[in-house]
Order: sequence, then structure tokens, then C-alpha cells
Amino acid sequence: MDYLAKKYTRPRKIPSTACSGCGLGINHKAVLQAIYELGLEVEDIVWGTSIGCAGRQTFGTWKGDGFAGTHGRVYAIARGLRLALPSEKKIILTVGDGDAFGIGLLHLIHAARSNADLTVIVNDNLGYMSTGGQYGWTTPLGSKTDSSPYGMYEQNLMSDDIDVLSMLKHAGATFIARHVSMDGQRAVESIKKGIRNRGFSLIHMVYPCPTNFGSRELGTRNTIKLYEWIESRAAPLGEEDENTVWATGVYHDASNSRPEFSENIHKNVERIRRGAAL
Amino acid sequence: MEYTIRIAGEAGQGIQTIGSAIGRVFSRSGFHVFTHQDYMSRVRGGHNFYQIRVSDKPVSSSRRGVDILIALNEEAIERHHGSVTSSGLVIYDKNFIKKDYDQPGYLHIPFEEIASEEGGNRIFSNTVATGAVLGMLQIDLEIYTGILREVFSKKGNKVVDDNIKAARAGYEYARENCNECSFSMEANKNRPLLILNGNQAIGYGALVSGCRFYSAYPMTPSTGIMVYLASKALKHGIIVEQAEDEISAINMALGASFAGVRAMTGSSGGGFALMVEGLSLAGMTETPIVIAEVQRPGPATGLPTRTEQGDLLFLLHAGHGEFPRILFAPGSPEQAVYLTNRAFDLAEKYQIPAFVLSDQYLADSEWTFESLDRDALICNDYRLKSPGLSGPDNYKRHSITPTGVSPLAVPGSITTPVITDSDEHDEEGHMIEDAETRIAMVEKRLWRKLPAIREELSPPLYEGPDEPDLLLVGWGSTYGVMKDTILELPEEMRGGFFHFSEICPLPVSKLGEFLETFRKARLTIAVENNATGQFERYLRAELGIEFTHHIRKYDGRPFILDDLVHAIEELIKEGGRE
Repeated sequence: MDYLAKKYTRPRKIPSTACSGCGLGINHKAVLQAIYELGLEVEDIVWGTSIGCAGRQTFGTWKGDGFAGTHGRVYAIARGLRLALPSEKKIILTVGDGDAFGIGLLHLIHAARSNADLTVIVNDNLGYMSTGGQYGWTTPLGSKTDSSPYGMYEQNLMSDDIDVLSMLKHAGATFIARHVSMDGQRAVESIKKGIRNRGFSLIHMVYPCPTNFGSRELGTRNTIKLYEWIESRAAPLGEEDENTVWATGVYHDASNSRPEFSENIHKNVERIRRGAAL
Repeated sequence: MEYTIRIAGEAGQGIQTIGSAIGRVFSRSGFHVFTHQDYMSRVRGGHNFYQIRVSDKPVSSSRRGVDILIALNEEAIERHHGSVTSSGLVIYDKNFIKKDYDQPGYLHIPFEEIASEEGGNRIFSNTVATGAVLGMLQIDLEIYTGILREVFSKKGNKVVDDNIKAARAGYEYARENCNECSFSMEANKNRPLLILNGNQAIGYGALVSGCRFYSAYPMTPSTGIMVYLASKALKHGIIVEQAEDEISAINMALGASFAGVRAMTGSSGGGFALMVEGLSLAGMTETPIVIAEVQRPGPATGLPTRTEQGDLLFLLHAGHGEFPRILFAPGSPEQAVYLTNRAFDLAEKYQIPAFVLSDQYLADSEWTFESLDRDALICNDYRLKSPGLSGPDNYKRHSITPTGVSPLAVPGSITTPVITDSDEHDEEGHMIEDAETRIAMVEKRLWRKLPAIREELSPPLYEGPDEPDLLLVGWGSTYGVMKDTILELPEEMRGGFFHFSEICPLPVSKLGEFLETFRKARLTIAVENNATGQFERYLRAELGIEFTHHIRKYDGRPFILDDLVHAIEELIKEGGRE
């Protein structure tokens, strides 16, 4: 077993229950690698998730403190935890695209607005794959899924020049990056920056789901074909061409530029209390 | 001696300012006070009133008849003059209303003119009016001037002095010009009494229970709890977070609670509807939480500023899946303090959600009471903080114990991980799907805890003669009006009442006295502020008892003392069973 797995995960949960060819393990490993490279230990982190593939394989294997909330609500739960936990504890949330950009979007925007010190890794398998493969809010236009058998034609959060990441930037997030699973160390570096930011960080990481996405859209569960399909549509920021769906890299880095949610509240409550003492 | 004072006019005229000042003067003078508010869902305009009943004996409901009506506009006179008793008086400012009622029972007091002349500004009109009422009742002005000092000291000495001048001028004017005033409030030897409304009482109960976090979304009539607690950051350092919606409010509170902080959320029915998913999460993850639900009439937006007891069965059944819960429904602000305290204690002791169910009537009604018994407040800390727990196998967040209650540790407080999951989980908190663990967890969460929780609750309160002939039964905010009604009924009716404030789970083993009294009474009347008799149905389902009659009110207004007495007399006239 790999060193990171031994150090940070529960041995009996490895290998995970992911489908063959699933890219989530690559994303998960990038997160653990980032934690390792930052010198963080199991007890430095509270790991949270909600539901779906992203949570099962990541939160479920974590050796330390953790919680799995209901669908979409984990950002609110985490803000409560943020207020109650010591500031040096890191909160890392591994969630899915439906959770973050669908049902939980309002809570996510308010977590960004308040700049709560959370690192949110949105593992995007391009739709609702754990329920069998329906389209989501970042599914590329034209993709065939269970609920879009003739190709997904609705405007979504990554079409018509709309990008969920710019929404989050304007909402107040202080670190935002986008990657695909194949980005390797580049993704690890972004996650490290996200964790280091004392504020709201979100790393959007697209990963391949051969079982449900690949089988509908490409008509095959061939892992290599799906990896190639994603890779051919990804390019580092500044190197995009007309085929690029996912421009990868750091979108916004205003790390430590705004007051952090819990710090701001504690500071103000303290200020009010000092006023009382005068 | 008792009087009823009603201040009526439109929103924005200062009805609350006058009403709460008069209420506080009475309570600090040692008189018993009961106030209630009737207001429309508008910031300006509309028609509102604030009613104060004051007495030398405890009072716990409102009367129909008004002794002093302070009419701030013409509509107030038109709407309420019929409620003024034969010895009562309407006071008004004919210059402001632009109409003269030169007839017995009406007293013109030039509020604005006096305010301008004595205080130097007509904004002091409300202070003049308050002073005038105190003059009519011959209540020493000193307490009121003290209150004015407290309220206005931040605005500087001049504002304080001008207010006091205005108050004194109103007082003197009423003394000199009120020929018909036959009111007298004899000097009272009581100590000053405390005065609290239902929302403040829930907030206060939370504070004295060590609540450190309250998250909510504004919703009438529950907002008062958030406003009260937010003002306590100064003295108590409590964090109040206004969430983006009620879904977030309950989830934030659950997050804080999971991290070891006493946490609470609150809303009215519509907002609580959004919290239902989070309630179920509390049930599954065994996270302690206290939820205040301040009812208003539904469905949907309903009547935002009015009252109803329409959410009882909703709360008893809210949340998908099966898990234990506690539901308290206080009948007075005093009960609300103690029951909120017990809600916090039991929520943490059993790691379950606990409700404090109130309504607009209780939320906005002020009651006086002697003092709080601090010794009666429970402040136990059930969290596990022992650093002795180390190694991966020692601590399990959901360990199966004979009582079903697992040791409560907080992430980071011990060296072993603290894990929970909204999915069904094993003792460690990790997701499972096997049938054996599922059964074990349901038994732990539900069946093992429930008998002990049931034993924690108290039976209903009874007041009245032994073996009453006529028995009223109610819950929550109808306590006060039932209490006063029993005293008003002719003695030969032999009326008594049971009030339930500890509603779920019903302490069945302690209900012997209730059941026996119920069985022997000739007339049993369920009194509820709703259309379908929700509590009556609950008792029938849990205890198999049938009432002979019920009195239900669903006009969005509370029971008024005279009306309930009248309704009971009508029932008796009709006689027999329905």
C-alpha cells in the first residue's frame, strides 16, 4: 500500500469501493499529497462531505475526525464547525458537482461571501453519476446522459460564458482553481494554496466516470477513451483552443486578503464585550 | 383593583413605546401585569393595539373591557370605543385627530402641544401620553423618570431632561383636567416584579443554559429571540449568526453542536418547514440541538403577525425516519425560561433534538413574576473531555450502550477520531448497509433511549377543586387564559384545568391523576387555538381518551378571558354531550 494511504486512511477501506477506472482516486490522492506536502497530520484536519461518490470514497477512508451531512448542506454545517473549532484546525470538504453547484449552491455562495476558512474540493464527474448518470450543472452541452438522451441542451453553469467559478469569485471566495484529474502535481500545488489560504478556497476538479458518463456519452466504458476525451478538452489557462472546455490552473488568488468568517465574528464579539467593560 | 389600558393607533406612532413603558412602570411598582399585542403585518399604517392589564393580584390573560383607551387616531376611537367600560375613559389629542369628542367618557389631552411647549419638540408626545396615564392612575412618577433616564442616557442629558419635563407636564395635565378619573392604584408594598415576554424568556432560558451559538433567518413572530440574543453579545459573548435561509440555520447550529458548542435555532412554522431535513440529520447523527418554533397561522405565509397553535402535529411528526424528540410548550414566559433550560439539558443528555413550541400570543405577551429560581436551573455538561482516551479503538461516537446514549466527545478534544455520518453508520460513525448493524442502531437511537426520556418529563399542571365537575384541558399558550377563566366561573360549576407543557414523549406512567380526574369529570373540554383539535387528537391517540366538548379558535387571535368564559357558559346552556 502506498505511503499516503497508510498515513492518512483506514487500511480496511483501501482499495475503495469505486468502480473500475474511476478517476476519483486520482483526485483523492492529489488532496492527500497536498496535505502531506504541507506537513499536516491526521489530527490537524476535520474532513467533511455530504453524499454521493465523492464523499463515499474520500471521507469514508479518512482516518481522523469527520462528518457526512445531508446533500448540499455541508457548507452550512462546516460554517458552524468553523465557528466552534480552534482556528488552526483545517476543514477540508470533498464534495460532488451536484452537491456544490446544484442543491448546495446558495450555501456555497454564502460560505464564499463570508470567506469561511474551508477548502472545498468539488470532484466533478460531469453530472449525477451515483444515481445512475443524469446531467448536472457543469455537464458539457450536447452530452448524452440518462436524463438528456438526445444531448444536454440546457444552459448551465459552464455555458454561454457563464462560469460558476466567476460567480464564486464575485461572491467573495479568496482562492479558486480548476483542474482535471490528469493535472498531477499542478493540481496538488493548487490544493496546497487552497489549504494555506485562511479563507474560502474552492478547487474544481473534473474526473472521469467510465461507468455512467462514459457509457452514455461515448458509448463505451473504455477508461482510456474517456481519459482522452477529457484531456483533449482541457488546457492550461492561456493555452486554450476552440475545443477547450476546462481551462486549468489558478483562477483567482486573493489568499488572506479578506477577513476570515470566524475570526471576524470572534474579533467583533470580543470588541463588543470590551466595549461593555469600558 | 385591576385596570385594562389599551393603546391603539397605526404602526409607527409609538404604540409599543408607550405600552412597554407603562408595563415596566407597573412591574417595577410591584403590580402584576399582563400585556398582549395585536398588530398587522405592516411597518407603517394599518391598525395596531397594545393592551395592558394591571392588578394587585397575578393576572395571566387579557380582558375585553377597557378602562383607559389611549387613541392615537380616529380609527382607534371608532374601533375601540365600544370596548370602553361605563366608568372608563378615552384619552386623545383633538388637535392631532382633528375631531372633538366633547362628551362624557372622553378626555382631550393636547399631547403634541404639551410636548412642544414643555419638551421643546413634538416627538415627545408619547412621553406626554405615558405621563398622562400615570397621572390618571396616580402612580408616582419617579419610576417612569428612572426608566426615561435609562432609555435616553446615551442621547445626552438634554434629551433625558426634556423627556422628563414632557412626562411631568402630561402627568400634571391629567391630574388637573381629569374630572371623571375615579381610578386609583393604591400604593403597593410588593417588591418590584420581573417582566418578560415569551421570546425574551426563551432567549434568556438559552443564555442561562450556556447556549453559545444561535443561528436563524428572520421570521415573524420568532425574530424576537434572535434580536434578544444578538443584544447579549455584549454581556455573554454569544454568537448570533443570521443564516441565508432556515436550512442553513439549522445545519450551522448542528455543525457548532457537533464541535461541542451548545447551539440553538429558531423560526416560525414556514421556516421550520425548511429545517425538517436538518432535524432528521440531528436524529441520525445524534447531535444535540434545541429548536424554538414560534407559531403563526398557516398554511404558507398565513397571517404573519397573528397567533395559532397549528403546528403541534407537524412538529411531533416532522423529519423523515424514526428518531426520538422532546417537545415542550410553555404556557408563560416563566415556564419558557425553565423549559428552554430543560430542553438544552435533555437535548445534550440524550443527544436528540428538543423543541420549545411557542406562538405569537406568548411571544409578544409580557408577564410579571416574582423572581427566577436559579437553583432550579440545570447546567450539566455531558461532553466527554477526558484526555485519557487514546488509541484508535477506545472511542466510538456511536458506541452501543445499555442506555443507548454514547459518550459525547468533540472533534479534537480527544486523540481518537470523532466521526458521524448522515448515512446509517456503525459504532465508529462510518457508513454501513448491513441489516444487523441497522437494527442495532435503530434500537440504540430509539428504543433504548425513549423509556428514559419519557421518565424525564413531568405530568400536566392542575388547578381547581378536587374532583372537578368541569375540566378544561389545554397546552402551550392557553395556560394563562384557562387559569383566569377557572377563577371567573361560578363556584358551583366546580371548574378546574390541566395544562400540558411537557408534551412529547408523554410521561404515561405519571398520568394517573390526570386520567382519573378526567374520567370523573362530567364535562371535559379541550381548549385549543386551532381548527382541528390537534392536541385532543394526540391525547386520543396516545391515551385513548375522548373529550365531551371542545372549544377551538382559529381566527388568528388569542383567547380573551371574557370570551372563553362565555363560550363555556354557552356549552353548559346547550347541556349534555355533543
